[in-house]
Amino acid sequence: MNTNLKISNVTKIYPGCVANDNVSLEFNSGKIYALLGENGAGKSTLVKILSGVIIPDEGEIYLNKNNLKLNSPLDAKKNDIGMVFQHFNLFETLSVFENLIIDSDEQRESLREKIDSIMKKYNFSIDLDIPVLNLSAGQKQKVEIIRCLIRNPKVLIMDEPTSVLTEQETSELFLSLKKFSEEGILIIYITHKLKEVMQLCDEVAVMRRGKLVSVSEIKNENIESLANKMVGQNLKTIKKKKAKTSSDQLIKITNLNFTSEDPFETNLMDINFSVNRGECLGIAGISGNGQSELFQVLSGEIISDKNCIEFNNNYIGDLNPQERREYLMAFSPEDRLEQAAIPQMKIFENVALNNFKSSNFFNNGLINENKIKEHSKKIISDFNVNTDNIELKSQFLSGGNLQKLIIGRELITSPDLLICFNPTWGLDVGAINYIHETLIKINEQNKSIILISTDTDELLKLSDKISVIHKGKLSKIMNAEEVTSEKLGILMGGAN
Amino acid sequence: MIKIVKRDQPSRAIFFFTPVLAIFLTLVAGGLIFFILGFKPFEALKFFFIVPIADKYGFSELLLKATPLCLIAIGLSFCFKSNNWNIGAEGQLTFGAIVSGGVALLFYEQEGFYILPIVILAGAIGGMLYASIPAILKTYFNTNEILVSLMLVYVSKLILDYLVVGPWSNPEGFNFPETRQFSDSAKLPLLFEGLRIHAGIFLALAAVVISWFVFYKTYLGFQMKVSGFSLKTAKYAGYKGKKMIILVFLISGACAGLAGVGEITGPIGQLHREISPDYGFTAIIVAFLGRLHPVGIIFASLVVAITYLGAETAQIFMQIPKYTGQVFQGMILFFLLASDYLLFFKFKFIGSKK
Amino acid sequence: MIIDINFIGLIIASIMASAVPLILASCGELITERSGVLNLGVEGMMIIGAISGFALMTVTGSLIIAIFGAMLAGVLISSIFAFLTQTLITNHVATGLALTIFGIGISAMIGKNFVGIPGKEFPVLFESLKDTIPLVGPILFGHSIVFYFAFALPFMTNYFLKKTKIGLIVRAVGDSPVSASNQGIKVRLVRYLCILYGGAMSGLAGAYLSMIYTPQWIENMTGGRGWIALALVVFSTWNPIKILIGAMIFGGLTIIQFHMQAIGVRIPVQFLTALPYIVTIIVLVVISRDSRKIRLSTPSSLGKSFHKDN
Repeated sequence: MNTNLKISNVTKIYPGCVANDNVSLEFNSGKIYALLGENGAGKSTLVKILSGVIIPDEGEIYLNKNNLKLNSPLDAKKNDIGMVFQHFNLFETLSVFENLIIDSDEQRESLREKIDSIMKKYNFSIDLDIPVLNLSAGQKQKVEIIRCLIRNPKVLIMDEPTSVLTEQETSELFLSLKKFSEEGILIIYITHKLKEVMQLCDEVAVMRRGKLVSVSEIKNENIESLANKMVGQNLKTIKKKKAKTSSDQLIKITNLNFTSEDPFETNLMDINFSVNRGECLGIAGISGNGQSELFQVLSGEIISDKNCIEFNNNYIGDLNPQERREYLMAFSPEDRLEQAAIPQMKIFENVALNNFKSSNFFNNGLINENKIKEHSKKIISDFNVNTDNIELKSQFLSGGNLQKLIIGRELITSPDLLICFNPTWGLDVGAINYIHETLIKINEQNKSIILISTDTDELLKLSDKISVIHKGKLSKIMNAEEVTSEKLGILMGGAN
Repeated sequence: MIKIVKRDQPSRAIFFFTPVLAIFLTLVAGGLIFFILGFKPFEALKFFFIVPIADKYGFSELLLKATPLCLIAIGLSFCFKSNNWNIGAEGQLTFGAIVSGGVALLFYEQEGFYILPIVILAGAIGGMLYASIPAILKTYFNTNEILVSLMLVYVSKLILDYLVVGPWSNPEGFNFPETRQFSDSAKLPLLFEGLRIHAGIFLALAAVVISWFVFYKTYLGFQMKVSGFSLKTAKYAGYKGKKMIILVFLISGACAGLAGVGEITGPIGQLHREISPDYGFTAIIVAFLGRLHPVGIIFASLVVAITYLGAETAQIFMQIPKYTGQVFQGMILFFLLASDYLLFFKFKFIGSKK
Repeated sequence: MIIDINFIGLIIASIMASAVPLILASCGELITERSGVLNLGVEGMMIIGAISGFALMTVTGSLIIAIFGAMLAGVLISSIFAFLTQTLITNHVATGLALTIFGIGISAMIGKNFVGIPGKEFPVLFESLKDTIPLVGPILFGHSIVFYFAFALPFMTNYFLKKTKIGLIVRAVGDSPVSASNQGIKVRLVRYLCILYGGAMSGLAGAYLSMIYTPQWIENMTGGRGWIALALVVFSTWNPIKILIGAMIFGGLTIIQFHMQAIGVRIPVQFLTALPYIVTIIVLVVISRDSRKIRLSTPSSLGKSFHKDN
């Protein structure tokens, strides 16, 4: 049977931002639809409305001409709308089967049979009786998909599904989605990745700043045209000049191992690499493969053997972040709101988090507020942070401005090495470009960067050398020119 | 129609208004409880909150009770600000009192200006020693400080009990569970003739000033603030987390220990079984009610001290059970926590639509 | 000294009896914590249960009303906690402390008129079978219904969590309230119910103390058992069966002090009384050293507030 889903004049307003501004769209089964937009464009809000997680301020949703009132996720389920979220809605400590049975009314035995038949049909292979935390990201996503399929959905919504998948897993997913579509399930695919849209979808709707910008068929579009619609301006392409080859070694990591006490973390095994002055070493990988642990080991949040890390001819493996800063290292962690900055504190207080001796932020144990404020003003103007009020609590900065503040705070010491982890995560294109330009500038000043990122395009754009981290192990280090995103994809999947 | 909406930003005015609201609501609820118990609410409240402090003696008693509360709450605010849940101040107070009492007994019937400082110092050290147990177990053995610090309260009271009935009991005391009287040189001087308020209040005031300075002017205060918001950030900034945990516990233990010194070297002048009417627990409420701010804590300690006095007066004059004091304390904290809701949400009156 | 085999049976039975309130309160708190809520008010809820049970028994003369009334009192007092932490999103630790302070105050206030009144005899089951089997007889027979319920409770709790749909939902909420909410589970409702259930069990534990164990009302009679019950939940690594073991150890410590004194061991009584508290600390230290295990078994959202934005 044909399925028709209609979104009519949906509006959702949050304090200070219109997430969805009068959005109307129509979908029919048999096709795969892309909902395209950059971070913060309002795609996620729209799909959360479709799945009953968020209730819109205005607007209606019709499924096969029936007006749906989606007040809770249960309503969406009842109306055969299935949804796979970007951040999985799984219970890590429960077994796979428990995760599946929890929202099913079926008996254990019949449910098991049903799951088995679904797995057989789509070639999934997952052990149902192990806790979800032992699964890979790709497997977790399959569990989410199975959870939807159990209910024979009419509509299946996928929210940024490939952000945690390997190349291999992505192509498997695309095959499955095409199969679902052939079987009459209406597929809505949310993404900001243009290539995927071109590869998979039949029609594309583009959103920008909460508004629907265009709806068109894929055959009439190409990557450039979609990019322009998504960003709303002609994309500046940033190109890095080839670095001067330097053989002056700045940091060297030797036989570094880390075994975590936390079962939710990844152990690092036998990490060896070095970075020369003026170089950017990119570390690729699918998130959750040890990037966070590697960042912490490099920043000194996790302390290792003294001799494991040699920086500028000093052994610093046993130093904490503050002590490492004195040797002119700087760090920009992934989590802006819970680690790199404290949203409830003022801008200048956040600046004081990067405390190094020559800054004189704290003299004899006392706070030197004037000095900190002076410094903060300089950062704000040097790094284009869009405010002039250093007394502002940093929660009122946009993600982009906060990231500029953080990078600025770290760079104000003119460090020899900046270690950053997903510096552009969740930012809009303008801010991404600014950060990328800044990073390129650092290399041009003969300073070095270790860029840990899950964004392959970013790595290929900025790195001189690239390595891939998989299950806590680094691949061999490659020259960036010799690497393609396909090759990285294969390595990220764990192949040699 | 009333709609609840999230505030864009927690309001600073409301931050200091809610404690007042909480006190008001406590009075209303308290009146209701009196009514249920068969008392005239307004009369009972009068005996509870006004009569006890209506004269000079009453006011001195208020300060006497507020002193340990303020001192301990100041210490606790170091812990609470930096995300450490030390709820065993009562134990630290008791142990501080034991150590300082022991030292005071060593100087039995001796005189000298040096005795009192030594006795005071001994109390602070005793409190610190006792607070270092949960601190060390938390930092090096990953043990929950809430349960450890609390268990130690019971242990400290038993140690005190053992000492005052056993080895330290007054040889001429007819087996009463108490020690000898300390010599005058080991006692805190009284401030006024005929009133019980003693020099311990200066310790509390000093703690207020010092803590204000530390919280808002020093690197340590800044580090505590950061750790309180996010331990991850503190680690990233390179603060020595373990050292700080131990330090705030030590400060907090020292303050509680000093409060213990004040209790035994003040008007009582000896160790006995019941040296504190749960000041260590009540100070937790004081710390919250004072918003972990030194000046706020002064006011909060006065308000909460009234509940102690009021309970006694109301018992004498109206036969209201003295435990109403504790009920009021619990209620203040309940209402304070509840009214914090207003920090993050506001009620918006909107016309009904459709 | 000749040791009578039945005497050993009696000692074991008395250890079990003193373990009962710990088992009840711990199993209740375990369910609360499994849903992600840390209620530190166990001591307060227990003492409220103790006075309610004793007062109702004295006033109405009905043991059944007293027992169920004590549980209801636990539910009522824990509903304050539930309303504050779940509806007004207050801090779990602070609210739990307030609950304990409030509970102790209220119980003493109500209990003023009940001090010194003798308790009633609580009927025991299978009294006649007590002497039929040596050693085992005194252990198995001649106890109150609450006693039998307490020893069945860990197994029932285990079954509930592992085998039933509702148990699964409780665990899911404790694991990730966000995921649960996104799947349409009413997180707040589940947590409310788990808190109230914990209150009921603490209330029952208190009633056992004042009506069966030491049948009389003494101010502050829970004497830290609520806190030990909290520690037992950590000790058990959130596994109900292990609560049974832990509660027996603490029961043993409580009983042993009486017998040590009786035998005439020259250890100060205060030291023996302090033993359960000291052992609690030691046990916590030993358990917590395996941080990996603690991390895996602690409900992931324990003590964290959950608020659904819309």
